[in-house]
Amino acid sequence: MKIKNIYSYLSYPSKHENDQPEIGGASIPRKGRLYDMLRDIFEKSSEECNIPICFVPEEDGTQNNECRNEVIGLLKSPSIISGRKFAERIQKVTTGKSGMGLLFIILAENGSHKKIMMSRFPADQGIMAEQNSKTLKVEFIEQVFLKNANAYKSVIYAGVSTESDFWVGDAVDKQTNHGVKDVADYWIKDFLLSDFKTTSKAGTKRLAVALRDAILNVANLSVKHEMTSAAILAKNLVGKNISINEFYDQYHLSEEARNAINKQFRSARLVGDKFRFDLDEFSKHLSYKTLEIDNGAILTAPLDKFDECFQEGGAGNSEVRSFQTSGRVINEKLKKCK
Amino acid sequence: MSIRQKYTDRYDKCLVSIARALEEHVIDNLTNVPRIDRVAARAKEIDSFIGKANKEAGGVKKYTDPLNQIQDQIGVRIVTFYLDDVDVVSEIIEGYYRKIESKYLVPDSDSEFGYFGKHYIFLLPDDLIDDEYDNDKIPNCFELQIKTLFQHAWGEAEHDLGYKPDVEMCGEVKRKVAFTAAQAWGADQIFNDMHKSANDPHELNEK
Repeated sequence: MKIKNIYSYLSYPSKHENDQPEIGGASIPRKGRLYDMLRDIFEKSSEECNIPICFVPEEDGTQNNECRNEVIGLLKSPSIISGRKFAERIQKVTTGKSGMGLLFIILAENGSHKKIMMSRFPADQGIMAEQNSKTLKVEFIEQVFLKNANAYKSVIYAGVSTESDFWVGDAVDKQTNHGVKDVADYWIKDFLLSDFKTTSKAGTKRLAVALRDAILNVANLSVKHEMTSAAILAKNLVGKNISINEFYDQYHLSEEARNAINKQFRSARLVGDKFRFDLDEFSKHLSYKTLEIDNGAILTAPLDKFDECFQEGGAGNSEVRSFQTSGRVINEKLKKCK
Repeated sequence: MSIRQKYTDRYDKCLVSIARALEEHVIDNLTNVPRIDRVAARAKEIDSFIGKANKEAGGVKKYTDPLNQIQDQIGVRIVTFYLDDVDVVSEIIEGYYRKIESKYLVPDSDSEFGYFGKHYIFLLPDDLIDDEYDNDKIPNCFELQIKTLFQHAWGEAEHDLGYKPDVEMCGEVKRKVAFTAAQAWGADQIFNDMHKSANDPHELNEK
């Protein structure tokens, strides 16, 4: 894709402030070292921006979103003025915690395909050292914007039709060290008026059903156990933003377990997709744990209470296990199959 | 390649199979939800798409880029028994699909009877899209309608008879169409009330 325009704006933290600082803005020439750096970020953006997001429609259900309208406006008539709306928008949602930032907007096209990337670099402090022939001049500077691979937030939108495309995009926060919730709230929700493309229920169900089917299909008992243990621990994820890949990492699932779960998806893309974990939805699909013993017995209990219901004891031989349970009998059933 | 050829290619290669997968997906998300008469998904028929693509408004073509602009290339319809079921199903569906539009279609005036139905535009879930599909052939969204049996029946008959909003009908025909819509509306109200009464423990005790 050929870069057509680059705009840059300095924005201040001004959330809840009535008087918003004025924002200038500049058009960046398509040559020189700054251009090379931005082009490099732009070219990597499709790989780096890996959180699918979607603009949220109006509360009355109308197919309209103010931020998307501004994206469309900028694509239709690119200028410093139409780009400034995003700088003003980000300024209005930025607190002192995020501080001052430098916003770059890059517009590119390839035939009828258009792409827009917005990246925010946080301001940092630094020391400038200048060596003359005999002296060294050292100076403290406040507004430094570092080309640090771990120091920016970014979002890309790509499409053809300004009427119907550009509802979904891909975001990333290279800056965050404190979990994805902050990205979701500040960058995705407040600035971009968006949400994850995958709903909490859809993402959680996708994980739960894949886990359930993988446990059913995998032959190796220790891999089955790994996955059921992860499913039991998943209750700690309530309300967290997570991808299936992050779920694997969080519970240290082996390659074999990951492969067994990945096989359940039509597309490999799905494991990187982020969603808010919903425990009720997860429990709907993975509510009971069952152990089948080679003497014909089948032990079943609610997933999160299995270990409370059945106390396991050794029986000398490492492969043979014994289980003990006690309680009042409240029902008795006959079933025609397992 | 003409629009017809492009759409036919898309229809054959992607839309029909995605619609089938979407139907299963919606049915799965509605497991154990009572009083659903049917869930049906379809890829928009080629002639129907071309007809819509060529529509004009005020002498100007309504769609400049129909392949990207027409959002009901894949459509799903859920038919419920009673009016209250529409809200129950809506809430469940909204939990699983990301909407970009929702509206309850009603006649223009409160004293008119005509089309009623809940319409959504949702993003197509990535779960349904195989890696080997050509992304340029896949629409990014689909239309979903939720209607009662009577709303569905009235809509189907009216569609079959060919009464279109942009064609002027004579007074007699208008009155007949409104009459049938009013009867469908009334039946929905009464069945919904009867269903509520039948399941209200206070009323059951009085019987």
